[in-house]
Amino acid sequence: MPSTLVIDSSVFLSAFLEKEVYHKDSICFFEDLKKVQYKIIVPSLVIFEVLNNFYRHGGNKEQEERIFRNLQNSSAFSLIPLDSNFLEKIYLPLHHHFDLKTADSIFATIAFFYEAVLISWDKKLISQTKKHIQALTPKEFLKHS
Amino acid sequence: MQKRELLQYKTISVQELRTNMPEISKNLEYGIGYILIRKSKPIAELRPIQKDDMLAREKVLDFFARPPKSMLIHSKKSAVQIIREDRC
Repeated sequence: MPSTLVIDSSVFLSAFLEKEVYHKDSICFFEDLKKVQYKIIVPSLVIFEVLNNFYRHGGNKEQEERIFRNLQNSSAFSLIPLDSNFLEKIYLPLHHHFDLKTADSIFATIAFFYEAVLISWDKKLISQTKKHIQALTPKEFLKHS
Repeated sequence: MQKRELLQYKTISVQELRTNMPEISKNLEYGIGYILIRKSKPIAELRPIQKDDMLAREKVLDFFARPPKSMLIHSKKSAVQIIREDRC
């Protein structure tokens, strides 16, 4: 099992959605991450997607700020900014491997570049990327680890 | 530029590392990390030393493993549905 993970927005968001079917599994997943020193990569798009959707589904500005502070904390997560450097050295050379929508292709390309496991609750994204990268749901990841 | 907690990663080639070392060193002080690439593959990571990293890491992961009850939101949609709709 590779020691680098790229975590999709769906995993972070489900940790805050109490009635979501995967809520408890997401909680267990983050609990498990405390035990092993995985390198956890967070594309900066995660921050936008999680914060905006958290707010749109009932969160407030103060709560949003707390999530932001934690997501950008470098002791836990390696934030990958989607800047010209990323575009030139990672995205442009590699995104052709994936026939995906733009946001999905950003996650897949980063996982490909870092030889990381993509962790997502999105089974469609997992099946579409399987050919080129290792992609698992948090539940599957817990079984493997 | 101010010193900050946020660590952002930039990718650099071996050649860029050689030629831009003074600037890279300065950026490291300001919290910018580097992924060194050779032949389009990541080969090393250069990052500032941070104190109490382990404790801080656990605290952050704890926030997602045990989110405060007051921060839980309710939606009829699943996280995947929400993100999927957002990306359409």
